Formats: sequence, structure tokens, C-alpha cells
Amino acid sequence: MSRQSLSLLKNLGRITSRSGIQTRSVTYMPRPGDGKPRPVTLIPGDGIGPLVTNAVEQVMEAMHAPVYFEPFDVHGDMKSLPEGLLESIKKNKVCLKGGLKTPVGGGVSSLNVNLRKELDLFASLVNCFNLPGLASRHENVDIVVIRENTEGEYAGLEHEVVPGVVESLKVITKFCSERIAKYAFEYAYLNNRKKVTAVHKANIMKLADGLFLESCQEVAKKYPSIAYNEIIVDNCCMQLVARPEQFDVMVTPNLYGNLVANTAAGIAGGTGVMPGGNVGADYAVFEQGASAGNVGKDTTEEQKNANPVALLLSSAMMLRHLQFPSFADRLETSVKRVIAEGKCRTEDLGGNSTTQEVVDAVIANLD
Amino acid sequence: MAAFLARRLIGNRSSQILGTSSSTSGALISAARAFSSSTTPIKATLFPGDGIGPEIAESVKQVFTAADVAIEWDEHYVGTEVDPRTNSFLTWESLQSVLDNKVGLKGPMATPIGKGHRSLNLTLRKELNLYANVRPCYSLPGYKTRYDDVDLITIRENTEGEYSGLEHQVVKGVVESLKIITRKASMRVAEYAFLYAKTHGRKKVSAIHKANIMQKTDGLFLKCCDEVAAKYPEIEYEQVVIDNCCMMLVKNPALFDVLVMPNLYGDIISDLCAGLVGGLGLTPSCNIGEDGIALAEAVHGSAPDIAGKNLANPTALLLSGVMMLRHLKLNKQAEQIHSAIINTIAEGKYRTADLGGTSTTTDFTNAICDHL
Repeated sequence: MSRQSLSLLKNLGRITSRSGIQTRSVTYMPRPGDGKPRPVTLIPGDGIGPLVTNAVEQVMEAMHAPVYFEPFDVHGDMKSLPEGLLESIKKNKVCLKGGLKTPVGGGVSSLNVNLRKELDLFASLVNCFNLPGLASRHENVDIVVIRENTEGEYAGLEHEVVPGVVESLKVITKFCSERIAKYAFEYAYLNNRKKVTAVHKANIMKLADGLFLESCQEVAKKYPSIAYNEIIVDNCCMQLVARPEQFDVMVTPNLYGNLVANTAAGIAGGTGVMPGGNVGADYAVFEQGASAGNVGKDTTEEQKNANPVALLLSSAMMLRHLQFPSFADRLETSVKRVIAEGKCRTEDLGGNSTTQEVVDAVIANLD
Repeated sequence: MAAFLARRLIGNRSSQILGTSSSTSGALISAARAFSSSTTPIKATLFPGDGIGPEIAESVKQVFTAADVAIEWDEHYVGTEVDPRTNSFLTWESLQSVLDNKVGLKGPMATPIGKGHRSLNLTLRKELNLYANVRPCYSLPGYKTRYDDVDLITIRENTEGEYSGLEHQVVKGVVESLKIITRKASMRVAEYAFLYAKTHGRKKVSAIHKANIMQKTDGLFLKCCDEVAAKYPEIEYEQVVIDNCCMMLVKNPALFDVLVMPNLYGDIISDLCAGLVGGLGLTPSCNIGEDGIALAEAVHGSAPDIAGKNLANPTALLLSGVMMLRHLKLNKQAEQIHSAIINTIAEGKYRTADLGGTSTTTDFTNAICDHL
């Protein structure tokens, strides 16, 4: 059991004692008053959203984490974001969110996208990695996909030229490409990552993706210790399926990022377990990693067996963002133990537990 | 030309005999061919291509002869200088040949670098009006990849979408790229997809889109697919968002059967599916054009480093040739050759270097001929 914990905790740099209880090597020193509870805006969302955000609330409660939630009722078919939501997020600076279901072809623009644009959350980050104990077809996966979140194909500028002919504008600007490239390299530098790969289709979209690549190349020069390479998006997907271990950090424009993140999440274990978040200069919104607009099937909602792991791990990311690292570590360790043990898993991971059972297991495993 | 002959032979009853499928005139031409195959050989254009192209084209010719396929090859090579009539290295004669013969097989072509001429693929696509790219991906028994139960077909719209090539710089540092979706092109590819599903006995067609974000463009594509789906009630139809599709493909590819998509998604998904079954070296592909033109091609590169060394794997080109035969309704021989290829690979005794074996191209080809 201790050897298992050792491998689980290797990344955390702790020494594990024989009985499995972790002891710190060197403590961190908070500032006086850091323990004051922080408010976090909460958007339960649609479909399985309320189920999984409730899971996070329960676990936070059990840990007595210095966090309290201010919930807001938002649904995907609302015409615009409700009053007070943006003020709340601007005040709290941090938000935790379940998915919002965008009606397909319905004339309502996606509230997920609107929220990101309003708050200028220009970087979306998804961490796809193999969870110990969770079997998947691919090993050695540890990919972080950093995706430009505000422009590209999601500019939402479409019009019908004549009946039967529709145009959609994909907008790429140097400003946005540069800042996402800077964020990606800065992330790699701060997290000791060795390589950044830019994903593009510049052989076809020469000006648009060409501009994106140019920005990445310029930023790469400022980080000579981080390896940089470029890959075309169709080859990238093929390589992800064949040899995912070659990828480390990937930086992509909007649409390709969506596809690459979902593919990478799928090969590492599924979107039910991958954490992620959106960050801008001033605010951060944490949500399930890939496929955030996916609100699950109706059956999952009815049977209450949605997988809370992704949002729990995202909330661990949130705790670190709020500078509560030891709570984050406890939460992460507990979730990883539950997965590794394999007894309590929801349907998407091949088990038959309900959400509540997984939450109870996580709470039971908290140190 | 074959259609003209056929119509003269059958006379006024042509529409009755050849059926009322008005969706593609491909059905018309294919049925016409059935009349000519028993007497005269069918003419098909062959572009051996560059690099390993000529060797694998030889393999195809050998196997087809051994299987008694009555095809007369009309070989064309990429020129060494730009033909002003086509503004590319492909000559006018080559393109005319495909337009006349209506079927072709193309090996890998290395795109010459430089400006002032169109890329070879672009030339073929525009001149022959190739609107759909069909790529069947199935796990080859005996060649183990991480996925064992893949059996799907990707059908990709090939003319518009994000690859319209319409980009411009608005002001310095701001670029716009246009994605065009038209009803005409979407209906065309949707019709082909359902027709293909029906003629090949497939049960389900999935339309892949991102219409929750790109509501008008992908919305139009979906509407066209919905309309065509209504005409084929016996085929199951679903719509899947592209990010969900990617995830499902890598977790459980058995969920999909036929996928129909606009250009960009098709490019990515078809390469992803090729990766699931072993890469581009094993994947056949066929481009469908107006008036029933079919140009089967091997989508891998020309591999100049192993050219001429008898090491190349002809599987992709052979399987593409099989697709071509099926398009020509020569199903018996298509099945024969297909089984021979599958059995040879499954047996494992003769495999080329890229599959982990030590056979040469000729050994592998001979083994397939033996299996016929």
C-alpha cells in the first residue's frame, strides 16, 4: 500500500512513511490571514452539472476547506448571462462551473463561449494523463493542451450570403496568438515541462494559421531551454492515437484545441476524469476538462451516475490557484486512491457506482 | 463514352433498366459498365506517381492480372514541366484521360516545391470536380494495433468548407479566413454518403458537426443531412458533435459505422481513423467526382528513401484498387483480391518492413497472387 502511494505521490515530492500517511519534506509558509474563507462563484449548470458540482461542495465541506460557494442559476438556453453573475465572478475572481447545454442550431449562442469572452478567459487548459489503476489503451500519457479560447473559428461571425450559401469567419489576430503562445511557454517554464508543440493547418490556411505559428515561433525564441516543434493537426491526431508519449505541452488555436483536447482526454481515460480550467489575466473559471459543453446523457442524469472525478480534480486545481496547496493535495490524493483501488467507479469507467458512492469513497479516503 | 455506347445498346428502355436512382449519375455509369466488362476490357487511368509509386503500381497490375480483372491501364506520369493548359505538372492529356475513362488509380505524388503552379492534388480535385473523399478504415486481422474492432467509413466533403482558400489580412496582425458551406455541396455529399451506406449494406450514418457553435454553417450541413436521411428510413441516422466524436472514436470506435463530415473535420477524423488501424500505409481511399468519376488513391507519401529498393508496402494502393473495382461493380473479383490481401497479412509469413516483417514487395505480391 505504501509503495502504491509512493508512486501516486511521486509528483508531489513528498516522502511517504510506511503506513501511507504523507509527511512533508519542507513546509510552505502562509501569510497571516490566508486562512480566511474565500468566496467562489458556483454555476451548477445543466444536465449532470448540478450533480457533479454538488459532489465538489460535499467534499469541500468534509475537508473544511476555507472556501464557500455563491451559487447562480444559469441554463444553456438562456438568451444571455443572468444579472449579477458577472459581478460576482469579477468580485470573487474565481468560479467553478458545471456544463451549460447549448441547443444545437438553435439561434442561441453558446453561454459557455460567451462567459469566456466576457471575462476574457483567453487560455483553456486541459490536463490529460493516465490515472494509476485506470486501464486505458495508451501508456505514458501526460499532455497539457493549452487552447486559445476567444477567437478563431468561434468568433461567431456567420451570415447567409444568398439562400443556400453560408459563410463563417475564422479570425486570427496577432494579439491573441501572441498571448496564448506566451501563456503556453510560461506554463511550461513554471511547471518544468520540456516541450511545447504548436498544432496548426498552415499548409492550407496559410495566412490565418501562418500568423498563429509566427507568434509561437517568436515566443519560442525567448525560452531557449524549452524545445519547440510544430505539427499539422491531422497528423497530430494520428500521432496521438499511435504514440501519445511524444507530446508534452500543446498550444493550439480554438477549434483544433477542442478536438485535440478531446482526443487526448479519450486516450488517457475519458472526459469523465480529466481536469481543466479557463484562465485570463484577471479571472479563472474551473470546469471539467474536455468537452465542457457536454452535459451528459439523460440516462446519466436520471440514474445519478455521472463521474465527479473530473470536476473534483479541477477543484483541486482551483484550490492551488487560491493558494491552498495542502487541501489541494489531500483532495487529489484521495481521488487518485479511489480510482486506483478500482472498487468505486461510475459507468463511464466501466463500473456501476453512483456519483454519491464515489463522493463518499473520496471523503472516506481523505487524510 | 461507355455510357453513350450503353445507351445506344439499350435504346429507349435505358431509364427502366438502369433504375431510377437520380441522386448520382454514378449509378448510371456503373451499370453501363456491367455491360462492357464481359466483352471489352475497361479502360482505367493509372498514375503510378513518384518514389515508391511505380513499384507498387506494378504490384497492382500483377495482382489484377492474376485475378483476371479485365482492366486496361492507361498510364500517365507527372510531367517535368508545368503544362500551361492546366497550370500544373499534370498534363492536359492526363486529366482528359480520367475524364474519359471515369475511373483511375493514383499512387503517391510528391508535390514539387515552388510557386507559379497549382499543387497536384488541388489540380485533380478542381478539374475532376472530386467532391467526396471516402476512406474505409477497418482493423486488419493479424496486424495488431491497440484497436481491434474498427470498422468504419469516413466520407468527407472535399471542395469547400474551411479549405476554400479564401483568406485575407484585414489590418496588420488581423487575418480572416472564410469557411463556406453551400447547400449544393452539402446535399451532394450527404446523398453520396447515404447511397454508399445503402449499396454497401451499412446500418448507420453519423453526421459530424459543431453546430452548437457554428450554427449557420454546420447548421446548414446538418439540415441537408437530415433531409437526405428522411429519404432512407431504413438507415439509422444520428448527429454527433465533433469533440464528442473524437473522444468516442478513441475510446470505442465500434460505435461508428459511416461518418459524413464537412471538409476540415473530415480531414482530421479520417487521419485519426487511419491512425487507429495502423497508419496511412494501410489505408485505401477513393475520391468521387461528378458524373460518376472515381479516382482511388493511396494517401501515403512517396517515401523517396526506399524507392527502387523493392521494400515498399503495396497494401494501400491494392486496397484502393479494390475500392475502384467495387465502384465498377466488379464485386466478385474485388472480394477475391480483398480476401487474398487480408489472408496474406493475417498469415504473417509475408510482411513488408513497415509491418514488422522482412519480405520484399515482390514476395508480398506473389503471396497475394498465390492466395487468390
